[in-house]
Amino acid sequence: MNIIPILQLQSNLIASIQTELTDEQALAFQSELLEKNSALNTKGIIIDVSMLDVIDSYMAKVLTDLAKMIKLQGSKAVLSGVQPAVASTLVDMGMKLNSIETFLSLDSAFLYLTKEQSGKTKK
Amino acid sequence: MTSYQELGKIFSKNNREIITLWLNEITTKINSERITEEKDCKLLIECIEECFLVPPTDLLGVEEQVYNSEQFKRLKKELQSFAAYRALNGYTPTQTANYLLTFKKIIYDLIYQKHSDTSPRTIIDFNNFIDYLVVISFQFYTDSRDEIINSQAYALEHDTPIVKISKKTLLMPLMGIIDTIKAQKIIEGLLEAAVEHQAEFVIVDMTAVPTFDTHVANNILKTILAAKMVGTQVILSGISPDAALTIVKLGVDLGHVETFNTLENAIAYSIKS
Amino acid sequence: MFDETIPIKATKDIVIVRQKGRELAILYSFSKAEQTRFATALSELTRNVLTYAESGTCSFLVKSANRKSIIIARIVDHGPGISDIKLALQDGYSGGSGLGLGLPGAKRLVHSFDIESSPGYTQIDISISRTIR
Repeated sequence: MNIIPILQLQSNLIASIQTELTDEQALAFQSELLEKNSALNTKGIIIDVSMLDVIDSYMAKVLTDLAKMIKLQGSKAVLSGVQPAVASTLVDMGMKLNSIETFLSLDSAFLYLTKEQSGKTKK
Repeated sequence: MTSYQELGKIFSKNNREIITLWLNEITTKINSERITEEKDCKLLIECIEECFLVPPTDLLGVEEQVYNSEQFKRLKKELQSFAAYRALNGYTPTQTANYLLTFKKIIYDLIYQKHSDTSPRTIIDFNNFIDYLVVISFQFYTDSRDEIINSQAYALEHDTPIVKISKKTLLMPLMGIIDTIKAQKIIEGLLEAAVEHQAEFVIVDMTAVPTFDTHVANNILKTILAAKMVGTQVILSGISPDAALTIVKLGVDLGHVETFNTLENAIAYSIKS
Repeated sequence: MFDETIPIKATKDIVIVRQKGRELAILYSFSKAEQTRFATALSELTRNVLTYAESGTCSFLVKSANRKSIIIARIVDHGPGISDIKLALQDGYSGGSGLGLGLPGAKRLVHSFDIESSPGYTQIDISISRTIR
């Protein structure tokens, strides 16, 4: 079920979610990222959600769980491109996405990760 | 001689009198300033007269000719600004319609007194002409009114100004009392602008917000959280001692938010970071 | 009474329901924020049906008169029902960590929220409305 292309850029993975995901697809995406991160020994993962116009509690959990699991692997996962309407909806629902950092764009996320990584090595 | 030519003659012979009588009627009936009305009325009469003086050709029927002429087009254009001005300045529909109806009355009186040999055809054509003008000016009036209403609604929806003060910083001065609906608009506006301009910081200035209740405080908190989720940091400035007290008393946790008492300090912070 | 009914039997139906909700919101000129809130609420409630009742339906109805439009969604299932509605609607029972029904959260996203529940039948009606100025 590899519907989300995952690219490698230097020591980071970039995954851009282009379409609505079913629950199963979301979980498959999660495991694929974990596998790839491990296999390629990458330090950071950027998940771009600029095309997602709904992030419900389930998807929010998938993303925050992913960030926690990636952290256990010694890497860092971040989000980029959260849509304004999605952000205000999550806040209205009382969800905060605290466990994952978010960035305005892929660029700024990438810049941040590479800067951070040039200061330290992977555990 | 065509009926319109006859009308043209009546008009040019009695130009001064027509203007004076019309203006007198209007200023009494509508109770407005003579100076304002004079310019518009003179212009309208001029345009109407020009329509009557359109030289007849053999190609079209006389009536068709007048209504399709450049002069008539000009008359319509003047009527449109005339009606729009009235709509904008609070004239009622009745007042606006009365201009031309009064005009009709004056011309009829004039014809009766001084030009009683005017052919019935001419009078009928004149009547139809003015009636048509009344109808279209009324349409212009209502169009203008609708446009004004729509633009006010638009302004209501878009009244939170957002200023880009640097490549990565936006400034949003909040003003007045913020109710729930306005707060929603503010949040949406801020988030959309932040993403559109890829702004790392948005300074929300609260100097001009007089009251600070739980709702406002909570809405500000929501804004900050949603902005963080999008990737922008909200900086608050202009929080008065009163407001600061309210925030603390209400238990709203603005712990992670950078706040500054003056706008300058807030801007300085954004430049430094 | 309802214009359209979508069966909820599998997780792919969650996407279908929320897309339909968004489609209607766009059709009746609701703002992007409103569209997203509505679609998200539908997503939450539809998912609950699958989690607790295996299957159900979501029906939509639009009422538009004068200058007001209302979109109503009715989510029905024949599952065990919510024994303590009051509790389920309390904050703190939100779906933030994936636990609970996420009802208070969903409730905050819509203009009206009505729930009826007994063993064997649960019906949740939500709606969003707007007035054209």
